[in-house]
Amino acid sequence: MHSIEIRNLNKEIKGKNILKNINLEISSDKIYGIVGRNGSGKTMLFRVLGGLIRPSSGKVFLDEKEIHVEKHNSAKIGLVIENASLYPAYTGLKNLMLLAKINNHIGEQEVRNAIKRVGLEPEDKRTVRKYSLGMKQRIVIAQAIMEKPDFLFLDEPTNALDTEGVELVRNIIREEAKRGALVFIASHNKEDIDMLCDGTFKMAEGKLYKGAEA
Amino acid sequence: MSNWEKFIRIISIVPVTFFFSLYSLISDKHDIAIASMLTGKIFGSVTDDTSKAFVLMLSNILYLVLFNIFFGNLISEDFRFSSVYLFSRLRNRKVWFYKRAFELLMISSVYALLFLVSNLMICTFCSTSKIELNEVKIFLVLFGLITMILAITTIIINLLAIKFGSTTAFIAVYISVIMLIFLSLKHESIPFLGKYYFVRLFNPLSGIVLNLFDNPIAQSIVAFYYFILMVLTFILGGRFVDNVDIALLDCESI
Repeated sequence: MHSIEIRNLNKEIKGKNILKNINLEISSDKIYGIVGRNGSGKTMLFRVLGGLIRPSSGKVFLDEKEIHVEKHNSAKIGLVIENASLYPAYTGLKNLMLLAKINNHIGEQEVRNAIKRVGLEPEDKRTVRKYSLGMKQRIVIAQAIMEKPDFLFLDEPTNALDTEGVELVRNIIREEAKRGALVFIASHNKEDIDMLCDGTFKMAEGKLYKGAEA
Repeated sequence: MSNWEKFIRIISIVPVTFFFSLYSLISDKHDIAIASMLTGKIFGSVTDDTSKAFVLMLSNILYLVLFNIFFGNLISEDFRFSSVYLFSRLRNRKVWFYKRAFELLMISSVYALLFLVSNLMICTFCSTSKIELNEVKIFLVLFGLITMILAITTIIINLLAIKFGSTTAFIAVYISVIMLIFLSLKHESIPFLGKYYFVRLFNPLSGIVLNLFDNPIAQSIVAFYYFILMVLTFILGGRFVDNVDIALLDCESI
């Protein structure tokens, strides 16, 4: 069982409060969702949870270890951030192999399996630059799940996917939660949240509210 | 940057060095010590005309400009693409930076070695003298100085590029380099400070602008100063990378 605890989290950038006094405590292997309009702060919250951004004030704990302070096992976080790119000049397999080598928890076979799991071909010689938007979305989902993380933070996971792709990604999310991962999804697509999530939150103007309708 | 790209960029200094020495290679041999010829090639000819010395100096730092262009994005490239997925996996950003900066230092040393060996070969070809102990000593000091200045300037360009982009970083560093070269050459004209010779040694560009081989104390001070600057660049760079907000820098996620 994994847990996330956020205490009085604030993030200010260039004098603007992007995240305002966020408090959250969840601990289970369930799927949680955040809905909110573009610019409401969903992605910023995931950036903080992923250890990419330091809070201006407040604390964030993953499995009771404070991020940025205690050395947590970062290989256990799977992250998808909307529009964040992979190396455009490398193939999908090479990109994922480079990332897998950072912590060396998995080998090439596991990377190949993750690529197949999202419906792509590991042998594809095309570079990521030549991928369609849907393929780019699938390959970043593959990088998030390939190391079987304890936490999955997925920002708009079904963006740019066709109907078949949306269904595939939804099934992957369910399987990951079943495996024991704590999955947190941010989406402006309420259908994704309704179909997948056991608990929901709403983000508006940097504040987090419990329940999608709040 | 792939290993193949790094290799090509490193060895490119060999043909460049030979190309700019074509005239020396086809001229008659001179009865000058190889050490003097080598320092003359690195530091340029002695001239009292500051503007002439300045132009000559700029052409003499071509090896530095090329290295900065080739490797000015070695570290900052990781912040441009895939940064979200790379840095969310790292346990310790400082350790990551130290490894990358050390890699850059190693690349600098190979590049400096190739540059100096090429120049030494040209000087040996153009001189009637032979390589002796003095040449070896001067070669080793130059190797240390050039390796460190290559690493320091390139790491600074990379760090500035993380925050402001490669072009701005390169322009900012080269405005500073040109100003420091000018100040080093015109040191005596600077009011008050110009009277003190040793102040000149604390200009970071003096080590590659001034031929200090006649003054072993000044040479040792410069070598030690470069070492301190390099350690500071590593420490401050590590701190900067550890504290920077990563996802805000990814070019496609702003």
